[in-house]
Amino acid sequence: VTDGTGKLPDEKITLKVADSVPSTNFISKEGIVYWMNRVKELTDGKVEFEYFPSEQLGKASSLLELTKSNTVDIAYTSYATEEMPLTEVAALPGAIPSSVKGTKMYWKLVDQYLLEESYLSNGVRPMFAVTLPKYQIITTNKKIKRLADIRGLKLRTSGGPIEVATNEIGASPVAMAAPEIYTAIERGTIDGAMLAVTSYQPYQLQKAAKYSTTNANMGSFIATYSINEVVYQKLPYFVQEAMLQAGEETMQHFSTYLDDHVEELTQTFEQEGMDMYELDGETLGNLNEEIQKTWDDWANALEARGYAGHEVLQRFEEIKQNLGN
Amino acid sequence: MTIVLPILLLIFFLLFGMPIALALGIAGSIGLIINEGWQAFFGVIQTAPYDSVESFVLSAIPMFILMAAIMSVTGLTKDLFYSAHQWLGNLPGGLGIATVFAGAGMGATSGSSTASAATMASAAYPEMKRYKYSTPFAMGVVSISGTLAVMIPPSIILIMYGILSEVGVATLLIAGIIPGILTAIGYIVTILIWVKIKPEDAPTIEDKPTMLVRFQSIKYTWPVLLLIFVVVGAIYTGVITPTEAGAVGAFTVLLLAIFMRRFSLKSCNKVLLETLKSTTMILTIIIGAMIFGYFLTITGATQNLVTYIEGLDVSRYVILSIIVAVFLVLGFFLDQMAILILMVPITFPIVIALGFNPIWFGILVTKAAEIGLVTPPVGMNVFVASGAAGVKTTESFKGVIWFVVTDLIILLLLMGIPEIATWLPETMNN
Amino acid sequence: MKQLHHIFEKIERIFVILSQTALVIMMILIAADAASRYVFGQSIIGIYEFTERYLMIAVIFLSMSYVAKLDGHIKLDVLIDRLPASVTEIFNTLFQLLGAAFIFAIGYQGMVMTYEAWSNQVVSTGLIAWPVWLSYIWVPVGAYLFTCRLMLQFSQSLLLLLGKKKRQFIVKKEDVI
Ligand code: NA
Ligand code: NA
Repeated sequence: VTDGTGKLPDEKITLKVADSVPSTNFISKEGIVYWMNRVKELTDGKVEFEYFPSEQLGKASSLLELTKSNTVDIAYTSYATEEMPLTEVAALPGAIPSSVKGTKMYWKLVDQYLLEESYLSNGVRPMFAVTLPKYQIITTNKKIKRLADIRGLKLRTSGGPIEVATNEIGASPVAMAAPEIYTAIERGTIDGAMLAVTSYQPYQLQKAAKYSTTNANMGSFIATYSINEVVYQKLPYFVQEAMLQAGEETMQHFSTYLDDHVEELTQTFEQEGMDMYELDGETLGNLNEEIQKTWDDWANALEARGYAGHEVLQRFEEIKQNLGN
Repeated sequence: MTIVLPILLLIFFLLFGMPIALALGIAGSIGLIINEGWQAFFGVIQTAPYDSVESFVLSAIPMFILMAAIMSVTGLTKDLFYSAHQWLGNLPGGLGIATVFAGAGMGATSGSSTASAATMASAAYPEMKRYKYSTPFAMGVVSISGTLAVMIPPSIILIMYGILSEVGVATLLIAGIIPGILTAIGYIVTILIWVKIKPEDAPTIEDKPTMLVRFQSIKYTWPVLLLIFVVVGAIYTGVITPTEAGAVGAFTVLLLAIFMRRFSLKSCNKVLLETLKSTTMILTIIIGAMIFGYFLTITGATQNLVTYIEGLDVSRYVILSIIVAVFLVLGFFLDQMAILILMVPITFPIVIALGFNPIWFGILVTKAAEIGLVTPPVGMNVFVASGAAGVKTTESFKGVIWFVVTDLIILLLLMGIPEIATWLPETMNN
Repeated sequence: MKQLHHIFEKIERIFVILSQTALVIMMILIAADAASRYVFGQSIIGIYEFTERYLMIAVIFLSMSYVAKLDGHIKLDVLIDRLPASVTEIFNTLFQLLGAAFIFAIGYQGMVMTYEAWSNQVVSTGLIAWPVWLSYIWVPVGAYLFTCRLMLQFSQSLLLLLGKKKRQFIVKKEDVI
């Protein structure tokens, strides 16, 4: 088999991979590194990678651009939600039940619709995408017993749907650089934050805050690695196959890891003195009802700009039904 | 060769007087083009300039410089140093010691050493000149005092190390306290020795001011002292974040100056231009340093170096020393943040595998970064301070040498006695 | 030529005033946000993004050219102080041309980036849909200004080298502020 450029398959192919997370982070270890290793194995070492973690080649928000311009071949395109707004559907509050299920749902949607609409139109193809665990409410001094307890809290959020949801439930969303969260929580500049439990440890938040919900569903984040489409099309067929297979395996491995890891971390943080608690049924119900009001606004705003917001929502719902919850 | 050529070009550009920002950017670009091709070059110059500037945290730089410019133009800093001189002037190098204190104070409010250096340069340098201190002495003290912001918490460098290595940020910040104080003491001792050897560099006040004169000198000073106290207090009680402190400080100083009838619309233009000059100079260099850093990274230059060191068959202390030395050498050329991003992810696993304490390593790395801020050819603090004071960089580098020697001694001390870094966090954890 | 120079200086001045204004707004907004968060327990939405995406970019890029005019982009003087003036002037002229080409490339890429964001109507996600092209556009504007400034300096150095102009034509620092 030869590819378009006439390269023989026994020639080594080296690809540059860039992301924005430290190589010690789980997204790196259980995600891209796992994937790279699988590709190497499946191609008998024909494919090699040069890996640049930790924003070594560019800020998170620029990684799509660097892939498009082929400065690198493969990158973490998770922060390209402005260029691919429809991909945010799985990040909406209440959208995904768990990492494993969320990942399956999202990948199905990619297959059906987003691959053409969002990724290929931006010149990239996703290799794998995993939905992070549901975002929780972590607070310094106040345990949330009723919905009213959230009102007026200053909560650090990243932008996007989480910010909208935080505002919807009457809390004050505070924007802040991630490295500053720790000090801000510790000194009471803010009352807490919205994050996945898996993100507490990288920022040491379990040492700064006392309380965290465990069953809220404030939204998620989709960790996606994509390859430059032109580069992909030039790869030998067996390499493409290997990459797709490695992608499937990585999603299975990574999402299972995340769900298990949340359980584990919850216990660890509890032992370290944090109060990890569940919201009662009624509070959770009220909360979900309120945050799901933001879905329509999300879709409407997109429709106004010519994106099929409602269609994507509907497709995502259908996929969820078909998967059984 | 393809990696060495751009480095040689950089040195050539710098020596023959190309602006530092352009030298870094152009040498880096040439490196990208010959190693990776035009596509990579276009990709990097599209993203790097915007990315290097688009940061809320970096807004601390213009805001702290603005605060300093207002204080300087309205004469508030002059009063402050007049007072410091009345109190400390009888000590040898008194104004220099006052500058170190002020630098430590700034360091406790700010995580940014460049902002701190610019503030010190526009505030302390003119005063030291007025009292006939020599230029290298004054600029040396100013440039080095700015670096105290790096070790004394809050520190952007320590926080960045914490994030890259996933070592506890809180523990790291606490670990920085004693080395930070030790460094400040080291600088004061250096000043005392310097003045002992060359008294003409920092003339002492002949007549001793009376206590009355001393207390009277506080008259115009207390509003500023109060302000510093309030801003520091607001940071430590969590009312504001360290990043916001610059803006809040600038705004408050402005109100204070208007209240004291020191501020006119005419001075407004001057203040803003001064601020723009320093800020834009700094950030343009950061853009250039980013582009050069991307060239070093994408060609695998740094990675290869580390792989080589890792493979050496020597004692673990030798390897650690080499790694710290590499941080120091990179510090000659690169922006501190770029070095951290480049080096921590690849050296940290080695250091841990060798069984060293991650917090201790963080402090060593931070100390090396601190030194890199004042070493030629790219010594960001010296540039910023020289730019703000309007002095030749050569003069400043000349003055900074002795403080670098002190810093190296402290670095050796830290390597020899890890407890300097680890004792306080361990005590506080128990 | 002289008239062109004059017009350019006027335009450059306008953008510096914009940059100065952005600086003042930045100070007021960040202070107001901190005050609002502390006093009313409510952060003012959008200040963070507005500061980093618009004000920071405008402050830096719109003043680059003026800072070059003030000779504010610092350089090393270890060696050039010891070289004959004629030698440093030759290098200076070369460097200005090289610098102009480099900054022009940045401006061009910035323009492409701005155009793409504009034609695709890219906006930020979250509570406020900030138009992204209005954030990018200061990069090409500032870079092109800087390119013009460098070309101006280059032509002046060249004339100086060729001995057609006297030295005082070059703007002195003191004349500016
Ligand atoms: Na500090
Ligand atoms: Na240096």
